[in-house]
Amino acid sequence: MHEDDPLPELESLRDASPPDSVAQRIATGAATRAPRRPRWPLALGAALAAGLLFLAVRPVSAPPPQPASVAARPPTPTATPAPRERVVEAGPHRITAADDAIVKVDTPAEGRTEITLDGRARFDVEPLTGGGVFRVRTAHVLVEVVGTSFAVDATPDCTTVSVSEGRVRVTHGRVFVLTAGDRRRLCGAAPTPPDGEYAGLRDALALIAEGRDLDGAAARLERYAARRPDGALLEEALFHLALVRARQGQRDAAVDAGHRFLRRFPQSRRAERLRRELPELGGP
Amino acid sequence: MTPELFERCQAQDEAAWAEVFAAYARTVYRWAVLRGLRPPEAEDAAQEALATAHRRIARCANARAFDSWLYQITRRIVANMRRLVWLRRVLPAARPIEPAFEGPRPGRETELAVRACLARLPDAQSEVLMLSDVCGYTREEVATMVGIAPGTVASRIRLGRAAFKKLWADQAPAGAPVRS
Repeated sequence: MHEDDPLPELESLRDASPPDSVAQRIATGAATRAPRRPRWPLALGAALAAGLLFLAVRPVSAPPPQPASVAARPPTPTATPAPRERVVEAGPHRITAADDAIVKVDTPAEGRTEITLDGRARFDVEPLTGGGVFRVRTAHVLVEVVGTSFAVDATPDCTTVSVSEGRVRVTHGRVFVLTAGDRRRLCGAAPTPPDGEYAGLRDALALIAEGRDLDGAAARLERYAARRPDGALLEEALFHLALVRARQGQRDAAVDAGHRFLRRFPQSRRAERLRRELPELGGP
Repeated sequence: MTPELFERCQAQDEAAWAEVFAAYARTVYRWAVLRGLRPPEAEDAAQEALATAHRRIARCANARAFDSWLYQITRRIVANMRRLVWLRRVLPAARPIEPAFEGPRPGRETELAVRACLARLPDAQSEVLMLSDVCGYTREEVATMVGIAPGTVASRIRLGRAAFKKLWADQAPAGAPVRS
């Protein structure tokens, strides 16, 4: 008998099974103890559907402006789908967050969703179209979606990322990709560049999201690209630099940054968006 | 647990949950019995574990993790119940172990002898032996289920088997499986 083989005495219980009547009582008892879903959501759903139908057939003058930044708050009890959780809609995407989680949703541009999370939440992300971005930022990591379903649990010390479907890219000092079934726990602050360009890049992205001081943002991005030619966030810096220059009307500078981006990251999903927004780069 | 069934469970599809309850009732009951509960207590623990899984399914990461996650729920419930019935264990007139399983295999005497030996082992060794040798989980799976390192699992299995063999030699019933 090999040392790793199970003991035959113990193995003899492998197929041991309770009587069918016991198994049936367990299944029935568990179903009875499990909380039943209340019926009022059906009535609420019907009322909402009727309301939406009314809005759809009624002439509409202009859609209300969508706020660029929305801090998601726990909805009223009438919108809570299950105890201890709440659902936050972020465009076509769906976020199921623990009641005590702080979720801030930013939509600085169409197709771009940026989440700041403190606590636990699960994300069901619709496939992103060309140039689309979906990011979750915690105190420790940046999680970027490549069309997927995943969960993030951010505690004061660590962040745990679990991927159910698809792929996500996680940045914590270095960049790595998690695929379906992967789970990773990352603790502590990510190592940052010694001279603070990371903070400069973060400030630049914040300025761009708020639409102010584009000159300052572009200068910070240029500085990062110059000082960190192999930096983990160079793709981020060059991409935004091209877009910022285009927004400033500096076509030559935008095209130059775009060319640098395409030379360095020809396989990036963002290349398509750059070509579309900067026709000089070979877009349609 | 397939990913499709898991998704339906997360969407609180009651038909999917009925499938899960039926599929896991025997497994969870067996875990509870082999962790030392009497059959009626094990039945109660299994119901509670499955109902708890229903309530907390949002906390389970994915379909692959479901078994170990469910075991961890069962483990906590069994531990709580064992604490509640400690008095019965120390009474001199405590009732003997009752049969919990049915069918021709493994035979009632063998079942009772195996459960008696497991009950006399240190709890940590008994748990990993139950998961690896009775339930057939790999060391890595046992490590995830119990929350310890695979090396620790291997060590506990080795010590547990040695202790079990000694106990078994003292009380093996006639006709019980014999080591080759």
